[in-house]
Amino acid sequence: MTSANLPVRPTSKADTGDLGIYIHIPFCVRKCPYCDFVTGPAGEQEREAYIAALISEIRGNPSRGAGAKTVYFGGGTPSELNTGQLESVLRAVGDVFEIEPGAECTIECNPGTVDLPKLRRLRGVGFNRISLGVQSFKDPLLSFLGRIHNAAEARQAFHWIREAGFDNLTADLIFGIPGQSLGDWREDLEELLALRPEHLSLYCLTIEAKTEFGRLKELGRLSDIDEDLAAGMFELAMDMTADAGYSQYEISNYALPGRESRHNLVYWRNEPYLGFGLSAASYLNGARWTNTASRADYLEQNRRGSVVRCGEERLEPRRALGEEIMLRLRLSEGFSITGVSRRWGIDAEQLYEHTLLDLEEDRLVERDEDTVRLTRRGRLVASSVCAQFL
Amino acid sequence: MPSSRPQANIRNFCIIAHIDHGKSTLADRLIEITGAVEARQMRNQVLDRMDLERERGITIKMAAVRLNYQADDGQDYELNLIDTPGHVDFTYEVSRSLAACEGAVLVVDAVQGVEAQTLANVNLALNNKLHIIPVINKIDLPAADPERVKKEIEETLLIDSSECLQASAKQGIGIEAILEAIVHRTPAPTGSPEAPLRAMVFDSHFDPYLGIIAYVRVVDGTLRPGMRIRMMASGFETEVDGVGVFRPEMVSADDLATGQVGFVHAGIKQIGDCRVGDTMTDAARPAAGPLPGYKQVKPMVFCGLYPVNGDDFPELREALERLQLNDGALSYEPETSAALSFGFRCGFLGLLHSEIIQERLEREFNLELVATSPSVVYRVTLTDGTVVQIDNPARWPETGRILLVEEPYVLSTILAPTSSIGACMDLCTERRGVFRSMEHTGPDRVLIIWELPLAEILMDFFDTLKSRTRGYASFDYDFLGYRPGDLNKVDIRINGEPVDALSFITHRDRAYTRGKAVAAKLKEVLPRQLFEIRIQAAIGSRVIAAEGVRALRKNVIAKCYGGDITRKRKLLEKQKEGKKRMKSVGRVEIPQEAFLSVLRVGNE
Repeated sequence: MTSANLPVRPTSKADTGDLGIYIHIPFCVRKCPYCDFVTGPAGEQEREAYIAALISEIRGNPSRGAGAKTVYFGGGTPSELNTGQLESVLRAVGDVFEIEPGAECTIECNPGTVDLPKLRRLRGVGFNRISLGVQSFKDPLLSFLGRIHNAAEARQAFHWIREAGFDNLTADLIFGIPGQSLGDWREDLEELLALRPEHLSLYCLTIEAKTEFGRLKELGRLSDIDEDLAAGMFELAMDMTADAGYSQYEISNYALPGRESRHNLVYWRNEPYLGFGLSAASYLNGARWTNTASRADYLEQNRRGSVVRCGEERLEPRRALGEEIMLRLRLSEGFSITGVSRRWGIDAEQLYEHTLLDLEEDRLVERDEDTVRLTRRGRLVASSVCAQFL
Repeated sequence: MPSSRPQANIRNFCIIAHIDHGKSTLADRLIEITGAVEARQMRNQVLDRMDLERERGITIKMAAVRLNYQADDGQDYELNLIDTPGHVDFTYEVSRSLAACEGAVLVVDAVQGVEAQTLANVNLALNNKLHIIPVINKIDLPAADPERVKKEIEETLLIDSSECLQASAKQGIGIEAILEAIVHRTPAPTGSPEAPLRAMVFDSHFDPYLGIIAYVRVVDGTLRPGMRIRMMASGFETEVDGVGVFRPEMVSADDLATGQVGFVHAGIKQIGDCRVGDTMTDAARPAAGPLPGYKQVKPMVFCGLYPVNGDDFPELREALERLQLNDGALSYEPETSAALSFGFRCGFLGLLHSEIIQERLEREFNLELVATSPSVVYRVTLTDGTVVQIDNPARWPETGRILLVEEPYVLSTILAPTSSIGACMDLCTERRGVFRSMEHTGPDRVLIIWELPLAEILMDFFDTLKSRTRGYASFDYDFLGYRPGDLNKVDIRINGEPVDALSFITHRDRAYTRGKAVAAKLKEVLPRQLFEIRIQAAIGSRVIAAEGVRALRKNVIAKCYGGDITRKRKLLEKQKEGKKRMKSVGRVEIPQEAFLSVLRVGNE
């Protein structure tokens, strides 16, 4: 550990009381053509080297002793790792941080990489929440998305997860896939809701620049689906989940009462978190940074004993205020004007007077005394609304 | 130093032609053959001084060059070739340079034959009592048909075709014969060397060291350095610093004698002090009266010019100042627009003049410009009896205060193949024309004369004519006068707010079509916003066309990028950054490109 790796300010109690911990596993069987996360296939030797580096990064963290309320293994496909590898990483987290009793401990699973014994082992090493990447129950759409699993495997995985004893399960679905009809989407939603996962993440497909889909789009062979159809799909999701008893606590996330993702809430409530592994993002004491996205650099940095913070930024209060509103507006609970004003020492009421009036007039936000929330219409154009506070 | 020749051995002539018939090439050959410029130094088309002219193949600015020629009769002659611009926008300048000559070489393309500008130029030459030497050029082309063209010259132009010479300026064929004809057919200048000085200014250019260089034709008397001269129209007086001739570069001379053509510099800084057409006289012994034909040219076409980058405003002002030094017909005054911020209202002789100025501003001064719809000058009589000249929709009076609106009309001449009579007639009818006459000028060519509102010609008239006649029609026009019309200002409103730069004045019959076109284009290019946008075209409070842009329905980043909030925020900041470069009308943000494309529609 070098001095460059130390936080600029001493870690405050307020920030370390309830950290979220994110672990990035950059491996998958095959990279999906729409995925722009740092991930890809790798051999066993490479994985072992990475796990060693990851553990070294966690053990070297200067926030040793801080409390953690959530642990989240994302990727990539963390379920691709063997249980021994996962357990060693979890143990490192547990050794360094004070994991709260009952902390939420999630692992993302690809339906094609799990079976009942594996799920039982995951439960055994301490995971209590599974995030299952279903994406769709239509095989042609799954194939288009380049997924390694089919719908039958997803259904099977669902039952195994329950059988393995997990009572907290979230599933992802994607809408807005080129070729997907509103009817296809309704059927996907119906099927998933019938399975009663505790939590749902419903994402609209974004064609990102540096992906296989992005390349096809540039060549003119692929295009984003019609804005109105995508909006219709989004609205259908809001209606059907509400009818099924789920609350849309965040723009893309829906949960049965009390089953909101605590890890997700850390991000949107602008609370501190630490990310470990390739390209993982952290937010602590008002500073945001990410780890390197280069596998070789990451391994090399760990060999030398310190992981370099990339693109570290510490926003001045005016921008930090805008950023917090950008994040909190995504939650159905919205933001408290006095709350954010107090945190950043700026009178948000005065600063955003006209913005708020215009947005209210256009029925994009609603105000209830001190609280500002997106309306249903506002949720559809959340990016445009949020941008106005930046 | 050029030796002066007796007045009887001076010939002043010009070359007139329809565009592309070979005027500049012929000028080059004449210069080359008389040795004014050595062949290897010749750039093609020496007379066209500006690169822009060279590129567009048209002459914008005139030049004059002295050629020394020993004719077959063994005598030495001084030939002054005065070049003329070939476009209708510069009719007045053409008429002044023609007035400086006694003869004109009329160049007619052996393939194309007589065209509209040929006709207009011949009329101008005849008005100035010039002797015309018809030359059928490009006889080397496979499609050349000199016999047919001869007939056209005889029938359309009423010129004795036995006087026609045949040449190929490009191949150097028939050039000597033209020089001989200039010497023997063109009269020598007739002025009096003893009379008080009268010299006509037919062009000028600005030199950063010497000031205005005036191009003059000495009609009476002699012009010498040291003389005190007076401009008879402007009253400006100054002392002559120097005189000289163009060969074609400037060469000093001791004097300019009666009948000669050359340049004068006299420390004149303002082009307004020395306008084209003005008469220069001896301040100590002034002439009784000026030479006829002077008038101050008035801009006919106006538009707003704005720098795309607002910071370039001072550069634009400086550029206009510099262009005006060489171009007395260009006018400009600052104006502001809510949508385009700071710019200038500029006046031009015509559409081509405006295009040339815009192109020079962009090319020579590296400015990126936005031009608003061109407008003519309307004459509006108000209910209280006052008459106002309006060249800018922004200054259009309220409807209730208007008693009468008059607009400029032109007499337009179209020469076209018989097969496209219908197309020409339809176009002129669409453009609110009044038919005057039609006559056949050959077996398959017809001369059509219409009276057209000038405003209608500004809107891509010539391009449309060309495309509807597959390129065969030629067109020219001359100012006729003002006539009343049902003219209205059409406002374009976005969510109720008028967008000043998009409003235009138009005839009631055309208001709907144009208003609808602009509204439709806006609908197409305006990005969806968080609220619905209403686009209206309206005359006063009456809406004549309406469009709507629905509110943005979906724009949401679904993912949280694995907690990479910075990335997410930067994405949104980028969205917002893009908006800073937009023009705001009320709460509606209009990207610059969208604005430009709408202006383009407005200009068509």
